Amino acid sequence: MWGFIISGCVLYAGARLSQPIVPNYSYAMESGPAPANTQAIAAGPFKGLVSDYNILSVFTMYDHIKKKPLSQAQRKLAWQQLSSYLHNAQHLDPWFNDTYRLTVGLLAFQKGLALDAVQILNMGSDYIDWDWKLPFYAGFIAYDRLNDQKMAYEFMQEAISRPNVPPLAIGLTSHFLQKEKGHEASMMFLEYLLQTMPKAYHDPIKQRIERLKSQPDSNMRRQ
Amino acid sequence: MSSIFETMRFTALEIIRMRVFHVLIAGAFLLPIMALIFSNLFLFDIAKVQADVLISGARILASVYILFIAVTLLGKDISQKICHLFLAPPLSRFSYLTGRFLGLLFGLFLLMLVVMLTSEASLLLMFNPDGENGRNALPWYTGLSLAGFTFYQHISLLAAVLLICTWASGLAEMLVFSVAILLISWVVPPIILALQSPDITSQFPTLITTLIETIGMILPRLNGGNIGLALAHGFPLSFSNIAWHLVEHAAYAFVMFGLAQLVFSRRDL
Amino acid sequence: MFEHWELNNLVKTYHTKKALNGVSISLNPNEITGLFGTNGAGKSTLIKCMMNLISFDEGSIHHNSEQPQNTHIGYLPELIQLPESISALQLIRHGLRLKQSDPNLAEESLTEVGLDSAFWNKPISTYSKGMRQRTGLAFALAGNPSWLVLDEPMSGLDAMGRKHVLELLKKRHKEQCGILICSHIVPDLVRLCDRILIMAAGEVRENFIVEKHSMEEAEHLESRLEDWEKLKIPEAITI
Repeated sequence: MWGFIISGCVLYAGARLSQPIVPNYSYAMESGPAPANTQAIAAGPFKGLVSDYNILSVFTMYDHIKKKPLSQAQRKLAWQQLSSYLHNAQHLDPWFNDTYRLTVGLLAFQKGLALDAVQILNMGSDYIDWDWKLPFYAGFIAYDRLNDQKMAYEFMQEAISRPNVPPLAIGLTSHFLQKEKGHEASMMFLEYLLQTMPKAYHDPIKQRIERLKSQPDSNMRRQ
Repeated sequence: MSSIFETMRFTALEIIRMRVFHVLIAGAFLLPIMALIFSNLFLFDIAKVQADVLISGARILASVYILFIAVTLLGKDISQKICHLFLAPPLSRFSYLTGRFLGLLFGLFLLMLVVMLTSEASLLLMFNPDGENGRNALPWYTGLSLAGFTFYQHISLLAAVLLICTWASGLAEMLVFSVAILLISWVVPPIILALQSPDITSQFPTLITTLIETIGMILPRLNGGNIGLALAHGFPLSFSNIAWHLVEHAAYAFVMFGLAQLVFSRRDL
Repeated sequence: MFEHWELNNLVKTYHTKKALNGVSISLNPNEITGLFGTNGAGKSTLIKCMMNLISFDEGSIHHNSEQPQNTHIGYLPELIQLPESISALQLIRHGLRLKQSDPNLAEESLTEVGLDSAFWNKPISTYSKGMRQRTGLAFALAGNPSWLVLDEPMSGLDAMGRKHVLELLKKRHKEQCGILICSHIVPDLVRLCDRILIMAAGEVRENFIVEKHSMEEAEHLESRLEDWEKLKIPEAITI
């Protein structure tokens, strides 16, 4: 009997150790998150916790994107999945700040995902109606990444109409709305973002600053 | 009255001496540690994540208590005929069932009291008062609120389980029905919420929508109108919302308890 | 506090089978009454009806008590199951409190039934079958009930244990406690009872008065039961 138990233990340990702790990336990426409504139904009263798990998946996904060698198609898919996790987190817990900080820090500077970032921030802005930051961030992305002045204007108007808006935001808004000062305002805002974001998420922001520095014309905001 | 109180006291004594209860109490002590570990994986809203774990943990503990202590105790009492020993005069069936229910409530109260104390202790001790990134965003009474609401919401579920146990015929049947009612009461409110969207409503036949809404009305609303999320973010809850929520659960528990007494008074034991 | 039971024409049907078919008996507290019969004769059903644990379809049960609200009945169910997590001492104290008696008498009750005192404070889950039976008996005896209704009280007890319980029940009867006992063990019934009701096929077939409490009477009783069982026609009790 002891022989059976010991050989079982050896087999189990062997099987466990022969598999990587981190699951195969392509599998994790291809499976992606369940749709937001399905997650909300399955989460039941644990919506907050399931939202946290989505954010945790965003961290994992970003870590994979940064560290693993991926093909172009894989990278594109990974960013789309990351965006879906953020959408789900927002849907489940619209008051969770991490969702919006990561949206600004990650999605906003990724090719083709700026509109997703604006959508998430816009939806969050409806719930967190006491804070100026979300519409302001949305306005900045609309201005800097989508080059949509009208949308940027609407979001920034919304931001400065909210309570406790700091003079910095009002000043930046007026700069953004003057075409010749937009470039400078963008740089200032990105510097502000750098101060408020953890170091792990500085790369996309720094890359954007570098790109803006190399494009002195205020109207050159496209990739 | 004295026989109801004595049955309640004895039920509480039985529960306190159960090993499952000790495991649940240990779980209540582990909860803040798990919350701390999990929340440290996050960047900004660390207090919110910790509160999420505490709230979810409290709910899981309360649900496990109902399924594995309340159902087991009542199920063994009825299906293994332990209640025969007690139901000789002078103890009436009404006093017996009332005492059992109150004893089970007391056990749940004790469990939630431990959850409250450990949660409060963790919220007060583990976060730096001058912390940053929303570390100290939760009010001091978050532990009290989450344990209190979890306790209150589960009174109605406990009463529903009491009805199931007085009606079902064996321990397995009682467990299956109780698990089903718990899962359905978790899952149905988000479905009903999703059905409010015109896009989804247009895809569903009216009959199914009505059926789901009817099931939603029959079962207790354990989601509590997103109270969990509000607590996790430290939002103040409106007095009328709290009052109606309390009335909803109290009324539901009364109805279920009354029905359980009716069924039990007529049942062959 | 000494009461009579009057059971009139009791009928109880389980699905299609009549478990009790018009049972009418009168129980006198001055005598120890035994119920004797084969499995399925209706003894336990009759006791459960008396204890209000199951309903009956027809008939009536009267309990002539001067103070019905203070009636204490000590009941020992068949194949006793006890709460596992608590100790015998806690269980008996609970029984005494329910009967509004002094909970400190619990030790006395447990000593009376001969439960080893080393186990009094241990969880019932650690008890043997015989110990559980003694605990159940102590629960029934606690608080000086005016009636004892015992369904197979000797089940799981050894010869010494059975003898001890018989002596105990005789002593209780002398202290003015009415006793109804149901058992398969004929010699025990004959040694203890003043009257034995033979049940077969849901009916009380014979009212046997025990005079000598001897082995001959026990053998006679068994042969009478065999006679009644031979007369049983299953179709006659199936509706």
